[in-house]
Amino acid sequence: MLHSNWMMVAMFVLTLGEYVASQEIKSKESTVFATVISTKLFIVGAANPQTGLFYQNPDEDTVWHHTGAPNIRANGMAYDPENEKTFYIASGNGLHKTTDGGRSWKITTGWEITEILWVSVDPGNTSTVYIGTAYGIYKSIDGCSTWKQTFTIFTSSVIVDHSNSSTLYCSTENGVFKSVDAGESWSRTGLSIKRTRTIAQHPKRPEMLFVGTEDNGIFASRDAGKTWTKIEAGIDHSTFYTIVFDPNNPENMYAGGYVTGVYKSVDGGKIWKRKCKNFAVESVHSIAVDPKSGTRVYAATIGDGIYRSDDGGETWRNAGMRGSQAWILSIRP
Amino acid sequence: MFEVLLLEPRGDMFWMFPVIGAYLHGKDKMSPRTKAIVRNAWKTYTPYRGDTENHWCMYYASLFLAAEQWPGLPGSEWYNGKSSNENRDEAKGYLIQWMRITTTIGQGEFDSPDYFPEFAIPMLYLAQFAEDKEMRERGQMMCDYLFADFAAEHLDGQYIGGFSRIYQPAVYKPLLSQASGFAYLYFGTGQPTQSGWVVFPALSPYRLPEIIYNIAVDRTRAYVHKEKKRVRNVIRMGDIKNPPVYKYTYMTKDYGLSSLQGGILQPIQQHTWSVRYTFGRPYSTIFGLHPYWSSRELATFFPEEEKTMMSDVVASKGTYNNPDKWTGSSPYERTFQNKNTLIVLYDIEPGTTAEHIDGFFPMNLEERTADASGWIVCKAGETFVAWYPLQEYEWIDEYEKPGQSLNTIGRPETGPEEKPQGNWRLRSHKLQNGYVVEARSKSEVGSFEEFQKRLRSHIPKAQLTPGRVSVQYVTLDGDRMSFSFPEGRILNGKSVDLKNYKLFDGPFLKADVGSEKLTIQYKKSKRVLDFKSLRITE
Repeated sequence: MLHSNWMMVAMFVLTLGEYVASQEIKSKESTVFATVISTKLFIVGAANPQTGLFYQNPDEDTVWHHTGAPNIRANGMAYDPENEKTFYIASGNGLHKTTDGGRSWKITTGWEITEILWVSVDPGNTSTVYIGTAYGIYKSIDGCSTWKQTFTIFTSSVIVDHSNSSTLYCSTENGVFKSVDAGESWSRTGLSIKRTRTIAQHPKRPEMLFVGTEDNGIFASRDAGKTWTKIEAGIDHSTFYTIVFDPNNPENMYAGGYVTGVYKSVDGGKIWKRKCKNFAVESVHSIAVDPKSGTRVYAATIGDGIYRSDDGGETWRNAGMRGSQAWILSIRP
Repeated sequence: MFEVLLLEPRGDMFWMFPVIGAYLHGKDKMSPRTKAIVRNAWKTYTPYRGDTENHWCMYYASLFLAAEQWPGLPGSEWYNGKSSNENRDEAKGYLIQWMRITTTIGQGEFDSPDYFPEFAIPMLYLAQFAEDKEMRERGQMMCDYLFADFAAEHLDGQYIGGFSRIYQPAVYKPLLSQASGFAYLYFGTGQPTQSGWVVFPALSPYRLPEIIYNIAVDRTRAYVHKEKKRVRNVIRMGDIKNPPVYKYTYMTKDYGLSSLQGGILQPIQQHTWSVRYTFGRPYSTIFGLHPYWSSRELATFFPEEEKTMMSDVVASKGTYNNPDKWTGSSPYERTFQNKNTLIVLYDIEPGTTAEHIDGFFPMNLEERTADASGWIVCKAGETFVAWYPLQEYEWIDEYEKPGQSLNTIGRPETGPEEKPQGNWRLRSHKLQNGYVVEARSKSEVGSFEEFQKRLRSHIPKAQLTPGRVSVQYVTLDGDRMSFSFPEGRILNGKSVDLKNYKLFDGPFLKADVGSEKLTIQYKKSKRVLDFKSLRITE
């Protein structure tokens, strides 16, 4: 009787699709990492194609390698600048961490922390990690063993000032906030716009910040957030999810957002020009510039995977994962 | 067979709970090889934790039981890198927190005819299989709690509501909902379901306390039952994380009229009000709504980008942005219910989605008459329902796609061409709008003719201009109701303050907000669930 009951239950086990084991990351110089949160027609609990963290080496065309757990609603990623085998994935399941190059991963957060949208590692002390979530910011100072919530507003990105790791900035649903005590407390910057989506810091002039907003375009600050100016020259769109600098030539900047394609500035963000040739989907959530080449640029699209330009954003081609919502890009030098 | 099914796991928490359930039921009969395959699956397959309360409930109940089954293992033996102890403690922590919030400020995915099993089954599992005595007791108590919650709002196999979440077509064919399968098993009502979900309760040794059974089926006296629940977590565009939900139900042996206060209380699948009755299956309901949708609504509850989220939601909830849909909440809708009388008002912003309101009237009404007084009077067996539109309206033949079933999860059908099925849609395009609903049974008013006759001298007086939408109405029982959109509710000259609602307040269930204690009463019997002391007293 029990056996027959067990068989009845087994009949209802849902098993579809395939499982791909976590793979060790075999990165080279300038490996690009991409998180993919969903594929076309993604449904929780259904047989979905693989999502999560992918990487590609520069000599690979449209091939992407998966690592870590699939199907975790991967929103963000970061790597440890001091340890080439340590990576993080910010996801709906929590913050995943590997210290062996992706062969094994551990979720470092519990049930209390969810909807993690962003992860940043303090370059000055890589045991300190910040995560931005739909419920605010959490900080760990012990390599993600324990967490402390230091902010309670929906946070889409957190950056550590590269010139002073006690200073942080975050973009939130209630504006741009700044911390001068390593994320322990936060105060609003001078930007009056509330719904902000991304923040970027100039690689050589730390007082220079750019912010992408929901519905209000791009703003720039040249005094570490005290005052802000709206950037309007050449910009015909209003919602921006990503702004990046070319690390080697910060006069070259890129920005993307809702149906924007990619915008490029060659004068440090004063004047912008739209570059969206060959984009099948024009909503761009993240952009990464290869620090080695300067002309190789990637764009993560919401709906058609990754696009790549080899001429500094002039022309683009799809570089794989078509139909997917690619979320965050990062290139490890 | 089980081994084959485990070769390629997919399905997240919908994989976790059948697998651990099958394992717990059948492990004594399993070969070492099969057991090893099951164990290995929990090492190699990573389920997504999900983004709703029912996902988490299933995920953590399954993880808790799995961690108990394989204790003492290091993180390398689990999909998430955590040890058995870490997984067990985390899962227990979440489940206790979920029970605490449910018994203090109410469930978030409350009273869902379609998601009832996703909460009940994990609790049935805990009650049966948890080795941890506390969790076993908690599972038992939450089973009682969930079934008692259902029983007080149950009528002949149907959940009566006001619901947080419901799919089409169960919203207009109430017995298609998953909860009705549970009603068949536990209350002996409704009809058997084809859903496999009932396998799990059918195998459970949990037995419904007689007092809850009696509450579910005894409808000898009409009663008012009020509840307080909570809104799903508001993650942005709001200052309160879990605003309150107020639900008012009037129950008789023939029908139940029930409403939430209106507004956006749950994204996508809310059912704000309906009258459901015992006559005329499968279409045993009349209800109305403003079929609103917006990216802003989605962004209030989900963390993805507001402007691109719609396509994600429509992929799994295909009716969401359909102006003809039958589920969903609206910021422009509010209700005021007093016993078996309901007023619904709308003050819809021009240009919003959509610029009309709809009412569902089923094909199997014995009568549906537009009286010269303005009342639309309907007869469904011994239940009579009257609807007074405050603005002009039109009737549209209502279509239903053949073969539509719960499994379609709202996706567009690609089947035979649509054919009229005989239901009717009342549609009104006025933005300042509303209606009054009176429900009575034959035993309450004597006859359908008498019902019609009395209605003619009860005509609502309305003011319907932008920003000033209000109605005054004297019910068939003589109560004076005054309702000004959005929150001005006055009954017999006294302001109605919804904030005074208790967690449960009716003849059968009583619980104070924050109490963690539910008192279940039926005649002289009493059963008290005290989640603070983890004691059940009778």
